[in-house]
Amino acid sequence: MIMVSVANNFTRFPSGRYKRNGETSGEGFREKFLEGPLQRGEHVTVDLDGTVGYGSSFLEEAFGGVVRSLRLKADYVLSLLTIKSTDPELVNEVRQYIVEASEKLS
Amino acid sequence: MKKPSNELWERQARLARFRCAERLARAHRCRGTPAARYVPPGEVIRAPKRIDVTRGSGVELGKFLRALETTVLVHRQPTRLDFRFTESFYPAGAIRLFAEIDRVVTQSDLAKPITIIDPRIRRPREVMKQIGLYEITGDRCDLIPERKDVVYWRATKGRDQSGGTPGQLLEVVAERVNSEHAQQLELSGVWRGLSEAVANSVDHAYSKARPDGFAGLPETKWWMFTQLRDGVFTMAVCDLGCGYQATIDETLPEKFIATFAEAFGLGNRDCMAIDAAMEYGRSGTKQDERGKGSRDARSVIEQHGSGELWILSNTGWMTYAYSRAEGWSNTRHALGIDIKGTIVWWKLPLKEA
Repeated sequence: MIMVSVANNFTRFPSGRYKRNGETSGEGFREKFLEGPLQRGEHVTVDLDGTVGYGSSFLEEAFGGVVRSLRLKADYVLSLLTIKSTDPELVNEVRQYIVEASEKLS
Repeated sequence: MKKPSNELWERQARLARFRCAERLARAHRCRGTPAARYVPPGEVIRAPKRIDVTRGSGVELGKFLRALETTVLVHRQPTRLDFRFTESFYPAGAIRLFAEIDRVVTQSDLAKPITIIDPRIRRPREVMKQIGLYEITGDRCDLIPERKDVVYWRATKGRDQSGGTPGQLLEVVAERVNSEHAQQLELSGVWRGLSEAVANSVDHAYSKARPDGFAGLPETKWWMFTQLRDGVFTMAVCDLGCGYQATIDETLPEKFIATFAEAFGLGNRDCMAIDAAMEYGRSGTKQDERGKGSRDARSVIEQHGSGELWILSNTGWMTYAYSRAEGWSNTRHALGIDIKGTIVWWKLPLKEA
């Protein structure tokens, strides 16, 4: 199992959608920490605490984007991905982005 | 000689009056505000008394900035900006001034395109020092800002969406604000709105050229500003891009825009574009990944409990006010000038400790 803390392993200031527009983007996080393990079928736990906050572009591109880029089903991604946060709304939001991205694919 | 008719007599009198006014204007005896008249290259440009874009002061600031741009970028002449008579700075005006001066200095190939003549009053001088105008122009100012209503003015800028610069600034400001107020600034909520506004500026604002031909800067693309005054925390993000109206067709579905424009009716088209983007974000139609930025802009205030969101884009100005008891209400205004860019501005009231 792989543990990833956004604040400790990536940035305390996550922002933006695409890598071309900044180093702290959702696409950058997805490529660095999510795509490889999920492609190999490994379990990943992402800890969202410790940052200043999250914009929806970052979350959508990181978690919805992984569904689009690897063309995975939401059930499969959710079975491998554990989202940890003290804010339950944030966890729900991430799950929603995964489900919506999967629905649009099918 | 034939006697002239009354119509011809009046026409000749009108022409004489017009020519007389022209001669007076050429001799600099016109009574218009100094910033409102044509400024020959190299001349001192007098800054307006109030640096603001709302409350009717925008025209003077707009003309002042146009004179600055023409002198430095078109005539390639260094200029001196005379702030001696400037008395007050307001957030939207201050951020626009900051952004335009930064843009002109960045684009100019002169060694020192702008020199600042200090304001006579201490407070505006402190504000200019605090937000870093002297650093941009390379002028010296040994003043150390002390006033409580000035030390919370902070400004920064960036060229991409990387969160480090605005994030660190916001953390410092929030820490100071929270130490003095009973009602805390929820950093995660504020960050959500701020990072999305910055992302919008980088992603969309410069995707099309402005009508005046300015296609964007090679580096700096957005400017940010915070202020605390009279118990109200203000945060603004500004870009000098093409505005909401030029970009909604790529950020919102065509059908939605058409339906919304019909319902909006006559009125300022920039206001319509802003309101369409906000409505699309609010209604959450789940089409594509679009329209989430405006939802995040609102969520800053919803999470805080009350406040106002002002969005100024080119000639349009929409205000969205929220309180838990009354919900959302909005007002549309026309600015009367083209601010040539977009300012997203949050006002969050805080309770004293």
